[in-house]
Amino acid sequence: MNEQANCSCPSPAVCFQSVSFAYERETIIDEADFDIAAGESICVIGPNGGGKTTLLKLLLGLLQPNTGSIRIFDKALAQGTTEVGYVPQSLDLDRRFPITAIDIVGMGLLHKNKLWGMRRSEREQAWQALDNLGLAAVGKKPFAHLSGGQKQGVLLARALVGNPRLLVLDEPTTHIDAAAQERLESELKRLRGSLTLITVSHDLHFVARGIGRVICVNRSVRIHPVEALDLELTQRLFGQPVALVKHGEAQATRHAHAHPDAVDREAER
Amino acid sequence: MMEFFDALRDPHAQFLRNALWIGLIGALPFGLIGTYVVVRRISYIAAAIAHSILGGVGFAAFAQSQWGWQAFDPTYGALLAAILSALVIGWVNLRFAEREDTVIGIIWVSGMAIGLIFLAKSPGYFDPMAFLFGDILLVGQGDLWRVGLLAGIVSLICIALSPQITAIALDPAFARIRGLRTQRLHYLMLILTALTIVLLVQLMGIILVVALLTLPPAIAAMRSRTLAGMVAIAVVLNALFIFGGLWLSYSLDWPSGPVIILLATSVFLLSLFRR
Repeated sequence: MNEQANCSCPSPAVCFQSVSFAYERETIIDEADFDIAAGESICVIGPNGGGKTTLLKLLLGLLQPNTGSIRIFDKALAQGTTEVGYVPQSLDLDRRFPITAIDIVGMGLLHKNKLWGMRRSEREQAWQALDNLGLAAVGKKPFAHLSGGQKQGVLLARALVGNPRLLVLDEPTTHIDAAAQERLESELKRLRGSLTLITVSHDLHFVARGIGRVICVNRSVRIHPVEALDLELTQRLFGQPVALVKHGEAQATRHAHAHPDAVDREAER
Repeated sequence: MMEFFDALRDPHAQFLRNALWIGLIGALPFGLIGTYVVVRRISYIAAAIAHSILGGVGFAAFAQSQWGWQAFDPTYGALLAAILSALVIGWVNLRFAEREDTVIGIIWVSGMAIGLIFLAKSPGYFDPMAFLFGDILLVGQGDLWRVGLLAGIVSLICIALSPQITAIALDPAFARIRGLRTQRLHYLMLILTALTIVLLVQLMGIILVVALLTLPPAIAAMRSRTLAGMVAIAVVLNALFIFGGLWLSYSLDWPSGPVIILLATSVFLLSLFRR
């Protein structure tokens, strides 16, 4: 088992040092201590209620840790956030909210001093980002009217338009069909290496593709090489054994959904 | 229709021209703030702020009549109550979102209760019904300048900050990740909402203000693909409802506020069925 180093790499993209977070006295993340190298592709897995979302929010600066520090590209989190592209699980938009796909993509160029509307150069950048994902045709359509796969493509374009160095995807396969999943996978394959990629997913089949290490979150946070994700480890993490199928094999993997109470406590190891 | 235009030209009917002007100038802040209120789905917050104003008005009336605070005009009382309510609701929205509806309800009813008690103890000073329903035909020349100034300020801020306002309305988490000062923007928009309500409630009454803040943008949302388009349609509809409502009210000799509201409601229902 490759236990996490204490921010050992010289210039990590992400560095968590003794990060703990509790909500109403309940510890959600306990002493997370790990780093992710620049250019690395890594997955965050764990049972529902185990702290994946909290870890993600800490990473994005949406929550502040009770103790410890988080650095992104060697800068304190508050200054590092504009280098992060984020693709949420979904954007539950009221159908009455009138906004087109291209305007959503343009949001990816926002910054705190941004005034007036999108400039022509920004609009061109947004169109280019959509076009790169083969979605230029939906640019002028209302976002709420797009299919699940198209919506996710637009959100990916929004995350990429600002040329981030770190891309974070939250449960990217939840609302899309198999074809859209394939398109997403090939896009992520193209991006791997050119930026740091963190994918939060309960879908172990998706996790297995092109990933070197996985972050297992169940209150405690541990990093393992993907090869170590055997039946024993997934039994401890999810409360049931989950067979991992590597890319190219039959898609026999079961999605892991386990109650947090049923999973192991890594700290007890 | 011609009678209405003749009346508009009548030198003795300044009240009618003022009412029309206030509606046309007010259409701008109503369209801009109303669009934000509708897409954020915070119409009930706007209504709560509007009703809480009565507390401030009542307190100022009482302070003037009983304590001799002559400088404390009811307008200042209204302003104080509206901004205080907006800040409290904004704070609760950020910290205890799950209890927001309860707090909004409390501010709504307690503001009115406080106002009614103070007004009852300031005899002969103020008619609460005038405050609830207002009378757009009593607008004076000074009111036009005040609403004009408000329209200028609200338009400038909303247009300059439009990308940031859109982001916090659409996806606040993403806006925070991009480094936007989402809390400040949240409070700023609530304060602009409060300012718009305060200035126009005194001229039009709570009911008409809430109606013009929500109905035109709600209709516009059904017809527009972009937020800018929604604002434009809402502004035009606001102006049309005021104009059409005043014309109908003049022709039928019905009270103007309720006619404007019923006209807007009818168009909303028609739009709903013709989607």
